[in-house]
Amino acid sequence: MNPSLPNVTQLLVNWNNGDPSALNQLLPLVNDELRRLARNYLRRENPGHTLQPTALVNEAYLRLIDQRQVQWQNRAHFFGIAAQLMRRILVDHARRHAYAKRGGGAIQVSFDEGMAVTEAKAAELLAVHEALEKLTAMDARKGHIVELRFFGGLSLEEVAEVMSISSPTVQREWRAAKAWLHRILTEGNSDDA
Amino acid sequence: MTPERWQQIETLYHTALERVPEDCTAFLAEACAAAAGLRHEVEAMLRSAPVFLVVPTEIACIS
Repeated sequence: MNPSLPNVTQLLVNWNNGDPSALNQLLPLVNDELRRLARNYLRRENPGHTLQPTALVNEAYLRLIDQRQVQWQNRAHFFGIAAQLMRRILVDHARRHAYAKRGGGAIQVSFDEGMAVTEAKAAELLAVHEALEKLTAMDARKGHIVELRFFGGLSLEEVAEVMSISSPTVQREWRAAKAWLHRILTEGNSDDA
Repeated sequence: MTPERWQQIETLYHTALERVPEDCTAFLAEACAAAAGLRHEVEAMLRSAPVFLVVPTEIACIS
């Protein structure tokens, strides 16, 4: 943990203890760290390597949070907010990738250069993101569950903690959400009736 | 898709999952007798692969 950083651990604990303003301070710090790690990761790796979202979230957690001061519930909540941020980072990246592929501006390419996300992967990521937005529109809770699982790598128990619902409920909803997403992503749009 | 229709589909999906396969077809035929589209939706979900949704960059299957 870097001692020069603001006390992210305390903010996390305060937020989990019911102080909503702590989240507003926490979000930009976690976001900056995730983006910084993503950039460093891309710089130091060979072009053949791919970005590992869950590894980045974990690294951010280890760097920002003093493990001695938190319980597993705090960890789950940290990963919960990181999932949402990671989703944005990946979607932004995939969009820039698509833009650069179309011959877009040079500015966008710098972040992309070392990134070995194939065109197919970028397209797949955007397709999941868009299908997830549709799911959220008709069932916000399932949308949140998928976001936490898919972009944050949270376990069913961690999702249950973050969302204050039971593990069996998470499991049941995760299954239905996955089945619907699979159907949308492999067979195209369902009817909109 | 409206939240109401999705709720209908989801309820049928979970109920169908609890049936043995032989009963499942009969159950859906009866439950969706007046709504073929509904049955189509539920069946499509029942066909979906159990292992699906991996982290988008080849890492960590979280199914």
